[in-house]
Amino acid sequence: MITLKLLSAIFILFFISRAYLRFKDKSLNTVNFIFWSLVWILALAIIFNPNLSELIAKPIGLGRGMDAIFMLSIILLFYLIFRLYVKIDRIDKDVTQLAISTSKALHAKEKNNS
Amino acid sequence: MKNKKNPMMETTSKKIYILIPAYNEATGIADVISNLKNSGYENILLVDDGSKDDTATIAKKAGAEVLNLVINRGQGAVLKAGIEYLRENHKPDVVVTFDADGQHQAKDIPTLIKPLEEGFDMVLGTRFLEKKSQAPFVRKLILKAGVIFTNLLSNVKLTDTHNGLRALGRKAIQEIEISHRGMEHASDIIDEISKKHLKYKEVPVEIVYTDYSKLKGQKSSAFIKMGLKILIKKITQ
Repeated sequence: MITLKLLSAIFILFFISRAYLRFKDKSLNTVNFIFWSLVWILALAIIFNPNLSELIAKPIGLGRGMDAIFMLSIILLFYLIFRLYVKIDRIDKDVTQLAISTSKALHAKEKNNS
Repeated sequence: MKNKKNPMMETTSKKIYILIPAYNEATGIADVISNLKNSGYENILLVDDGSKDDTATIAKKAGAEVLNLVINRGQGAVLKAGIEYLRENHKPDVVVTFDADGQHQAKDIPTLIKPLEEGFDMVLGTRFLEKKSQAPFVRKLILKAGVIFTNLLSNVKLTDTHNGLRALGRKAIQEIEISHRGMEHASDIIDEISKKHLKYKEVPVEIVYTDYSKLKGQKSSAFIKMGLKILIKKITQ
């Protein structure tokens, strides 16, 4: 059990360090960095003290701490999928606009040459 | 604009542009363009959506101006490119969007343009106001479902929401912004009509279903995917 806890802790520390590095190179803003740090610190705390999950479970009306963790994880996953969807949609629109601008520029060049 | 054959165009001094979005339409595009030319429409812009065949070369030979999209992005992107290009370079009074697969008839164009002269900003073709078109049963059912779905989501009430034969007046040319790059652009146009308070009208047009156009047209399953995309966009906006 302690091995599993240690392994999980190593992974979480790795994720926190990744978040910090992305924050340092400015690809993650302060709000996002604080959000992810809190999520991972909370996960770390629950791994070493599972009773903490009961603290989350009670205010949201659930009996068991594990149920609360699963529920919050699902909500978080949905939120992340939504954010990814919005991001992909924005990139898709940028690619389309880039294709249109390039096409128009090439067409103008072709017209000028003929 | 040169025209001897079209009585409608003899009475209008408007600069009319026909905008044809095309993807792999080498088989029938020459006929579509020559039919338009024979009906007196000299200003034709074909936007080629990165076709793998000779659509662009054939269209150019047939007398259309061709704008080549560098990569395949879908019909919405093609229409966006075409409208932007015309707006910036030719400043037309009217843009008529016309399918490349031979489903649309040049004889319907004067009917589409006439309401613009009466003060409408946009005119949309419909195959359901009069029984001019013989849509296959499944296609008809899906199109009707699409109409109910789109009418529920927008404030614009139409009888045919996915008809590509449309005429845009100056205000519509200037203001309409297409954001979906695929077939869902039809719902963007309807949203824009509502958002930009464009005065619109539907007129009956004939859609000719040939084996070629049925082969080239959207698959019925694509409509479900399209509906989902429109719904997601509404939620995420």
